[in-house]
Amino acid sequence: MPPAGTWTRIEVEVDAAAGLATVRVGGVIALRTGIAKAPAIDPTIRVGALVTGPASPYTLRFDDVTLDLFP
Amino acid sequence: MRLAVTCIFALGCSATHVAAVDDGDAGPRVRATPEAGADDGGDAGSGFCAKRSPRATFCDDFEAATLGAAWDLVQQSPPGLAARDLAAFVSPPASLTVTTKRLGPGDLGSIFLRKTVTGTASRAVLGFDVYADDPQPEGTLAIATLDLSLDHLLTLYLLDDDPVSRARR
Repeated sequence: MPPAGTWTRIEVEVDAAAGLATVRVGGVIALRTGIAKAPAIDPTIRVGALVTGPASPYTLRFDDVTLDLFP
Repeated sequence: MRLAVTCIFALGCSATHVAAVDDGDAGPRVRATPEAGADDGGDAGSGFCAKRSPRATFCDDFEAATLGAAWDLVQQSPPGLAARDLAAFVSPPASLTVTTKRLGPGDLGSIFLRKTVTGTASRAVLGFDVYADDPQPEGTLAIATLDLSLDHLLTLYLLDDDPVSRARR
């Protein structure tokens, strides 16, 4: 997951109050884990490719990037 | 061959498990300040961001003609390329395409967009659509990060989970 060669929606949710991080792939939970309870301060996101070699050429696409923050 | 998602936390990572929960997303959003650049060209247009309700704190549907107009940084450390793709997208007229080049052992490639939203929040949700081919059996490939603070980091990796190709490593 996500399946190769198709568009797939991925959501990463971090609930600092509850101490939970959840990753959804295509609306289905792929991972849920406990994390330290610490509020987000000036959160930063990155999308793209951070690659460590050895690696062959690779292409991936992104669309409709959203960040929702809740008080 | 399929892809896999892995999370790595600098702090507080505990046992991983999978459970079914409500996918609801109700509640008030933190609105990014204008200085934070939340209103990119996509928001102002008629695309995904403009139509999304409730509006996201930050959104980019790559409708704007200038790649990265809503972001703080467009990083393209050689080798690699980031560009708008007018041929493949979820919401028209474009997506972001990222292309890496061949890397030797230990080489690093950083092709990404980065955005910091000023403020505090108790809950953060990063969402995106991704179109990826089969990952490579060697090296590592991170496709997204969500840094809550300087020491509370989350990174999503794509992994090759084909046991045959992994066995070749």
